Amino acid sequence: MREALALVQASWRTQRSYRVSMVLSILSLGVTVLPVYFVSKALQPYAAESIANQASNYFGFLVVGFIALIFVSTTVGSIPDAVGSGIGTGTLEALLSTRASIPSLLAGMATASCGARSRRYSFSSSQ
Amino acid sequence: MSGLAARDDASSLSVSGDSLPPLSDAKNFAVVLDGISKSFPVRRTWGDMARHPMLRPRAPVLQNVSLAVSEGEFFGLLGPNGAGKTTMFKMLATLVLPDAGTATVGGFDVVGESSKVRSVLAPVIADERSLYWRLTAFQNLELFAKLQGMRGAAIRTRVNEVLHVVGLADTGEKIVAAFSSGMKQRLLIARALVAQPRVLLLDEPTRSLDPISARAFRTFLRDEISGRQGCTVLLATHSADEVLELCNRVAVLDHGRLLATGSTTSLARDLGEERYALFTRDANHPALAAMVQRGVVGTLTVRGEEDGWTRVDMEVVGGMERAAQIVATLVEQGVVVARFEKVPLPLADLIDRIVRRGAEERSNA
Repeated sequence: MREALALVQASWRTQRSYRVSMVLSILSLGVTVLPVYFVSKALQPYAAESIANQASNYFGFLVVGFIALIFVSTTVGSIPDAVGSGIGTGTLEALLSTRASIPSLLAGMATASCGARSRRYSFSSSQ
Repeated sequence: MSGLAARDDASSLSVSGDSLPPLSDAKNFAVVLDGISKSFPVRRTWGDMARHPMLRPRAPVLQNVSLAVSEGEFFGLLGPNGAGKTTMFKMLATLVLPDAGTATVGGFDVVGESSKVRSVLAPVIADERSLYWRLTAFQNLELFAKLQGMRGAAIRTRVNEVLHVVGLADTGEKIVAAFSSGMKQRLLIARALVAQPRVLLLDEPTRSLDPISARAFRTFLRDEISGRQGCTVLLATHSADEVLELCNRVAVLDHGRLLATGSTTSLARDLGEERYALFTRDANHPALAAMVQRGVVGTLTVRGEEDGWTRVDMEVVGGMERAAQIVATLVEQGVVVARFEKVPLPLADLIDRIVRRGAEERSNA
């Protein structure tokens, strides 16, 4: 567990070191949400009936959908992404040569990759 | 040359590939490989797979390799590209499993006791891209200290210690992206040293360094890593300087087969050839050609002139006695000789000969 946390911390530090990109990805979340809010508000009278069984508010419905989409796509891709980039850079070999167990390394790499991917995803979805 | 001679004495204590110690003695050696073999599947084209769907061709990378490296030894691994050096290192680092044979590191089996092997061995196989470039040197080492199971204040103490050892104490807070190649190499070594390994595997550590940095790095390896830290070092390299300056013994690999082990001088001796330089004014004297014809000396190579004297290199089989006879014969026949001295066989030539001899043996077999 400590090993996984160490990898997440290293990834967070790496992400944080790209300062402009970090600020832009946070700003881009707002930029993405704003038009969705207004569009959903405009479509509320028409969409309310069709989503009546799931939700009463169309904006909330869309936000939950977006979050689920980002979560699924980053989760599914995180381990292959982490392992692939680790093989490419040689980091994976270096990590596997340590005393840390393979499950804890994979957990740490996947979580770290999830964070990086969701940040990239939120940034690219606003463009 | 004197350094080489001194190391030659040490090599007489070590074990050649042909006389492997019994595995019960494995704990007395830092590394023991006994009949290790490994092959990888050959990548095939779609057409080939369609024609021969059941065929599973494999390319041998290591074939029945046996060798032993003593505690504290600086051992060189030589051979052309694709010889199997890196695969051997990866096997020792528990990253690749052997198909056959056994390998132990510090007395622990690389297959059955891989976690114990990882606690005594550290590989520096990956290149500098395997560092976290956006993190500082300290943060890189801190991460690996945590992965090696260190906790609390011990991490900071050990990381600072290691940074000091590799000469990066002043640049610990600098991000790795701003480091020179030499500094990154040192950081790779530091990363390996964090867990205080007994055995260090170095795969071409000076390949991206300029000659001056490479020399400084070799000094660092010899004095600090091998000397003060007392690590057993296995070094895969193409550099003659590295081998001559650092290694007690070397092993030559080609096509996955171990062709020879020993010090460079003993290997040259085993090849049965020694090189001598003759300084004469009569490089074209018929007596020289006659000696080649009679097989008294091997090939003659005119190397150029020094102060009006022509240097002729010749290979002599039969040691000093034969060399003395050659000088006597040449003088008797009127060849003017200013100097006749033994010169070390260049490492590249030595490897080339061992590899060629191995290829001949393979084709004969």
